[in-house]
Amino acid sequence: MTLLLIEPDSLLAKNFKSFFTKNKIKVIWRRSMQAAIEKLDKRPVDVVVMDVIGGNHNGVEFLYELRSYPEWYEVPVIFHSSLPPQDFTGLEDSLAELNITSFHYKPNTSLADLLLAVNQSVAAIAA
Amino acid sequence: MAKSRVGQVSDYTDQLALLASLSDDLALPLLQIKSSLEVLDSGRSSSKDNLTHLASMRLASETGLQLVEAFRLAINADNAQLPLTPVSVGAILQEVAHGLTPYAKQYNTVVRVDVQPRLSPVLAHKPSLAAAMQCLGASLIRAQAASNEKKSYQIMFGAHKNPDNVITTGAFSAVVGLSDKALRSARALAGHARQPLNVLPAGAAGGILVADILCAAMWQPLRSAAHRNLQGLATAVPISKQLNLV
Repeated sequence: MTLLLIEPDSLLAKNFKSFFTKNKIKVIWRRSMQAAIEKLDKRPVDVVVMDVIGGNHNGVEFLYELRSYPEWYEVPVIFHSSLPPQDFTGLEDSLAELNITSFHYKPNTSLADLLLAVNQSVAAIAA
Repeated sequence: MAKSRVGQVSDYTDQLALLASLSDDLALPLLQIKSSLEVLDSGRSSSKDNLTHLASMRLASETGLQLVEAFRLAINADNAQLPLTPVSVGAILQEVAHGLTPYAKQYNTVVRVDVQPRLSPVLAHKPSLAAAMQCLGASLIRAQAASNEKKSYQIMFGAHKNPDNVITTGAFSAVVGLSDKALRSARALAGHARQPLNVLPAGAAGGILVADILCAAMWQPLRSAAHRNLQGLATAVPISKQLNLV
């Protein structure tokens, strides 16, 4: 399985990569949304895990762009967010439209929880 | 609010606003420690990796604590007149750069200091100046590494004398968009927006706002500035005519 991680902080990304690699998942890491789009252009991935706030780009704008391509519409996208769930109140319809597989608030989510969500999302697509 | 954000954190509302801005900056090192612990807990790491994680956790905790100390200095900055003493800006910048180097290395960042020779000493509150430069530097290190896909980065602490007899000192990097307008907006949005400085990623704006308050309490708030072709934020320190004779 190949996972695209969009995470602006290098240290968090290194820990994520280390944990997921130990669990036999190949992780491609990009800091910014724009770099992630460029990577997706070159290589398909099985799942995307991303923060909503990027280095210099808004995650929701990125998702609108991602979902505008038919070949990327079904790719599971998991939010690993530094923003709490209450900050998304009122945006439920937009997020549903963008086909977000699951939402995880960073302070409340362990890497093990995230691994479970990733495995479940890819299994659901394969089923 | 506008008056207090430019120099003082005078009431409870302002302190809450600043604390809200700091929450992301404080959450980041805690998240780093939490995820490092989980990687260590999962086992199957080499001894070398374990040592790297321990060092990383130590640096994350130190950075978080330094931010807390800077916040304490900022909220007390207007409770009493800061005792200003003659200090060498260059020596403080060297000290801050030395302290930040291990942290910067984790972000593949080299820290440099560029100070114009023979700068006069200035009157400053040394702990506040050091804390302001430390917060500013750490924020720019994180922001720069988050915004650009490069293999290595550079941050520069600089100081130079201007023709109008002030010393401009601050931190400079390749982060773009840190304009005076963005700073004014950030001061107004502190406590009301998740990203008061929208050109920076989460976890970098609070440190800049604290540095801004500390600099304003001594001299002037931060301003957009350039040094050696790098963009950054700096404060202007008036040169004391008496100290100029020292």
